[in-house]
Amino acid sequence: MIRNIMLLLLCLCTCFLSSCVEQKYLEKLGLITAVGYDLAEEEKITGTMVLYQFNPAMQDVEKVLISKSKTSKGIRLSQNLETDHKLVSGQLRITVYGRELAEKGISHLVDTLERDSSIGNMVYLTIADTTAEQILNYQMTERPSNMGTYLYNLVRQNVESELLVSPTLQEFITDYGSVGKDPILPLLKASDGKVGVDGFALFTRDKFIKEIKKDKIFFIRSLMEDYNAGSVEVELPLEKFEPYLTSPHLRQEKDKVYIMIDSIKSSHKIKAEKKATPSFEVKLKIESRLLEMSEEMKLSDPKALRLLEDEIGDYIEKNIKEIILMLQDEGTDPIGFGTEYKSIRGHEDLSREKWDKLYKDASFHVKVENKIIRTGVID
Amino acid sequence: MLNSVFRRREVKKDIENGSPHSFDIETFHKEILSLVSNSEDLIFRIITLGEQKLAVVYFDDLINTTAMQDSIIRPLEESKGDLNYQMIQDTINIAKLTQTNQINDVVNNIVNGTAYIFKQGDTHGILADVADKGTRGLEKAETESLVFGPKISFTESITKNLNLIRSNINDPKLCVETFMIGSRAKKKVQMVYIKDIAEEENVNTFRQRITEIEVDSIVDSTVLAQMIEDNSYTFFPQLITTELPDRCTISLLHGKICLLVDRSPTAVIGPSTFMNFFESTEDIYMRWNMGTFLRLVRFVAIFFSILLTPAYVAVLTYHYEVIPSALLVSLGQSRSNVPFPPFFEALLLEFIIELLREAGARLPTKVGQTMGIVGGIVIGQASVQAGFTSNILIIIIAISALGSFTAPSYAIGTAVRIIRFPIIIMAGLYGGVGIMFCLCFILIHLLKVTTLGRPYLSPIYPFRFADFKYSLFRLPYQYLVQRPLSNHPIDQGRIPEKKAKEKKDVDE
Amino acid sequence: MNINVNPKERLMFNAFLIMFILHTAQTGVGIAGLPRVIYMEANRDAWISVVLAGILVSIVLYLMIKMLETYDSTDLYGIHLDVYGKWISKGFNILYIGYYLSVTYVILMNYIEMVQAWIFPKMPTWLLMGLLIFLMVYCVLGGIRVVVGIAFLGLILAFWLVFMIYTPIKYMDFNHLQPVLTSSPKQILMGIYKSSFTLIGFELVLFVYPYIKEKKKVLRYGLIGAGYSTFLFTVVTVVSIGFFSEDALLKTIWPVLSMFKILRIPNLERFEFIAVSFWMLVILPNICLYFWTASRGMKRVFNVSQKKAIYLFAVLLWILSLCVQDRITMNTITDKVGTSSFILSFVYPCFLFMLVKLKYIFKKKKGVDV
Repeated sequence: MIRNIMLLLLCLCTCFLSSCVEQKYLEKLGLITAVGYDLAEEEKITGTMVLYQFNPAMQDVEKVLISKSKTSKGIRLSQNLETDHKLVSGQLRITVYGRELAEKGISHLVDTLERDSSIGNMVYLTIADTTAEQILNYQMTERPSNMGTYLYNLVRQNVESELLVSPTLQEFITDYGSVGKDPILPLLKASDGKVGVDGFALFTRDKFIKEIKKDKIFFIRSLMEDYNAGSVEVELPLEKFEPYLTSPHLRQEKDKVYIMIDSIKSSHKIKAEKKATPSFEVKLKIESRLLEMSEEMKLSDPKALRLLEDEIGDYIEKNIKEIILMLQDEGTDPIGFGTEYKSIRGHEDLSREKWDKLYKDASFHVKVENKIIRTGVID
Repeated sequence: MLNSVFRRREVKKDIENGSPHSFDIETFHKEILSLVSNSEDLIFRIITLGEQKLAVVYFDDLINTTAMQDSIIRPLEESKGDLNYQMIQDTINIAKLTQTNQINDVVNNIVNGTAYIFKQGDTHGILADVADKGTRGLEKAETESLVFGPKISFTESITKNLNLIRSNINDPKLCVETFMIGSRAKKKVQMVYIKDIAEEENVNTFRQRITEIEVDSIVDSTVLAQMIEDNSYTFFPQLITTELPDRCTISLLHGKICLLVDRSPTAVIGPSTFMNFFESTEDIYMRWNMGTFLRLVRFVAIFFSILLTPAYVAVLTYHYEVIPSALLVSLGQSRSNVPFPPFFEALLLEFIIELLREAGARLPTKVGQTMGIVGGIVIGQASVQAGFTSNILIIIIAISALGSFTAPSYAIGTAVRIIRFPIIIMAGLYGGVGIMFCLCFILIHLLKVTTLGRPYLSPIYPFRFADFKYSLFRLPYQYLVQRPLSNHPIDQGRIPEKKAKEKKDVDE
Repeated sequence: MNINVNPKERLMFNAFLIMFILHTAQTGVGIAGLPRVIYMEANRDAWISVVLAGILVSIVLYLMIKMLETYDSTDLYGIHLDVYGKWISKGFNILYIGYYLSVTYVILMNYIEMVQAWIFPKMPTWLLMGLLIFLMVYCVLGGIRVVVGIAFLGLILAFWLVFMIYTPIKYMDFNHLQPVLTSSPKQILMGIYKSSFTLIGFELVLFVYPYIKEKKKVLRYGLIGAGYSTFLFTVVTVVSIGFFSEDALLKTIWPVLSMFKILRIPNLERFEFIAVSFWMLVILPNICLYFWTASRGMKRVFNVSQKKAIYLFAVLLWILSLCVQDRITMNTITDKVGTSSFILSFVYPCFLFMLVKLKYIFKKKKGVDV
């Protein structure tokens, strides 16, 4: 009997203790979906936040806030004073860093994202071509409901189509923390009434050093991840294909033929050899489908197909070599040759400085094998 | 003085045991009248045959008048010669006759519809059973409805109920034990089991519990079930109550024990484990794949019914990060219309649904249909329009309510509905941690409940894999060679194993 | 106090449940932080440390069961009485009771810290402690059958968490694990030592042995249970090393939960909130088993009614939670308990095994107590 009374008292107590846990009602929150950081004067940072605000009266759900402070969370505190909803970052989807800020280094800003338990690790990181403020505030011709969600879907959809290297927070932290691999992030540009990915930002550690054009991404990504359905545009000189053209009298004075291959299944292998100066063997195997050609050719002829395969393979190989040499010059290593080198017995204590020096002297042998499996539904 | 005002009155019980009644008819008349509180519906008919006086005592409203007149009064009136109780016994055309001379025997039997025939001066009298208690004809089951299978249900007459069971199981080993329970209003309770299947210990426990009850009267078999069950504090029932004879039949053949109580249309089946409450007879009549699918649908429905509303409350109050982007705007906008926190909103809607359900059960059938439609549709629609609740919550509450109705047994459906409330409260207080706390609590609680001394969560714990094919899913009949082990049946085999598994080669 | 314990028939359970008991006793709150702790000692060969520790566990388990088999049906308290006599054995038994209480306390506090770091920063410690102690007391009051039932059901209901490791495996980089065997033996040994606190729990076989129906099969099922735990820990360590970079793994306090952060099941974005709440079901069998052992000890050694002991210990644990507020103190306490766990669970049973064997080298088996 006494036990039952005690039990009842205990239950009543739990009811009164409800204020001990912090409540966050969904409709009273301002959910930050995108955040952007830029350099401001006097060592301050400018923060731009795009948030959702739920209000039955207003039609507009989106709101953009801008303010300055010395730390990123300090920005959030000062912006909280400007809105009637409590700002929370649990639904953060994408972060944009301004160009100048990125050139100085973003590791301290990324660190706070990781430390906060309410922010997930699949947040996308991007770099803005000009400033983050401009990108997030940009008025596009078709206004999306929320800029943050729009950018998030933009990046996500492209990652799934294998056109971008996945720029998640998790990958950035892993790359930044590894010896021998540097992060690579997409570059956003706002112009002509739309916002899109215009290129890629190459990093050394956490500093942005150079951007590359978006058509070169295939050659880097194929050495980082395997493709399941990738695509690339190839440019070949026309003379070798003269005997195989179907309608020679229609061609105009051109000397290049442009080909699009897609449904690419690729597998790559990078092997480091046990030498004092690092030397790498890079092998890439591609199986693809021919989708578009700017000139018509007799594809039923096996010799034509073979020639196409070899030429495309050579083109890709040449481009990969160029890109690797360019990366070596700039001193950035997004493909991860350093981690490969570190995994060889005897080199496990490789430090970052040592690798920087060794990278400059590394040599690469690239080999690409290409196979065209299908040519679509017509010949 | 206060003492005398509030003290309970003591009533003298004035039936003495073991004394024969007086053999003089006049005195006997007075004795009987005083014992039945001078009720005016007691008929005391005196038949004079020459010099013998025969008294026929019965309650007018409890007997079958035709049987009385044709089979008792007429043969007695037409009899010749000297009568004593043995001759009376041979003269009357009634099937069930007993001899007695104890006054309390007479009274106890008269109130059950027997007639007492006594010749003045004789040593014993005859009790003739001409009872005709009010009862219904065989009807369709109302609380448990099936699509497939036999649909008759039990009625209020215990003889008819036993008739149904014996017609279904014509095994001579079917054993029936009778008890008369209750000190003031004695009710006939019958325990039915198949002697060489049910376990000895279960039968003994049942018998002991029933005979040890000391109570005034038992109104219904469900009251009897509540009195003999192990744990009365818990929400979960430990004995199945059913009004379908085929459910009784199936349980008896699995080794369970059935209790029937007079004037009650529900039978009690025990010992029942937690999984038994989710088995419906339809699963057995359907083919195995459909039966398994139905059972799994049921489990999933109950699981969601318990967890969906608390999850909504917890996510919207504490864990906004979990919501996917697609749902974010619709949830947020619909919530922003509502003035209450999600916790109150959910409790309010749950309460309204319970009101609807309870009101629907009490309304007379003519009004019930309309009110159901009004309640369900109009209130739901109007409250969303008025900004009283959000439409997502209405969908969630509707799914939960539907889910709790898929439980085949009404008792466990109610239990599921009730335990949802504490889980919602804990979710509103502590979010995900609160929900987990409640689930762990329910788990520990289920482990502690015993039904008739047997563990409640058989066959999950203690783990009897062989019984899974009876409770969690159903397999084709080739595999159901043995009865479920949880009931410890004595006779285990059902189908001879060799015949069940004969395999033939191709084109043989 | 008797050396042998012969419990009632209806309290005994089947031998295969030992698998579940040992596995759930070993897997608790430590698995979330295990990879980091060992990585700090043994670097990328941490998984080798885990495998070796698992083998060590199996050896000690084997010795323990052999020691128990020299008696008819006894537990550790009985063995102490037999080997040391009345008074010294009381001292050792008190030591073990206190040790198990402190292990329960450490597990509870670590789980509460996990909840406070990930979901509810403002939740007071004593509140969650009160809720968990309530559950624990309710469970242990039901006796050994309910405790074993919770271990069984807890494992089955939490089993699906293991499959969640599939997504991190996709993101793993095997280069982090190579080259293999580069750490020095001293580092690997330190790794084994550090992982001992996470791997304890297998010695509970010393206390539940009298309640098992088929005593001959205990060794087989015990080794399966402990082996599965070792396998799970190894997989978790390997995936953590592959998934995180070196710097990141050294910084992440709970690598397993951080790996859950990237999971996205359809319709629920952030899986770690569900995982941390669900972790309660993983630690519940853990604390119930230890608490049952401690309160059972009070009953066996001092003849205090087990119910009284349960209530007393519950109140004691609850009051203790009010004393410790910050992480640093908690870490110190955890370390101290960890050190003692290595001695009391690994070293001491081997020592006791030798004593028992020495005692019975000339006598025959000890039968039922007079």
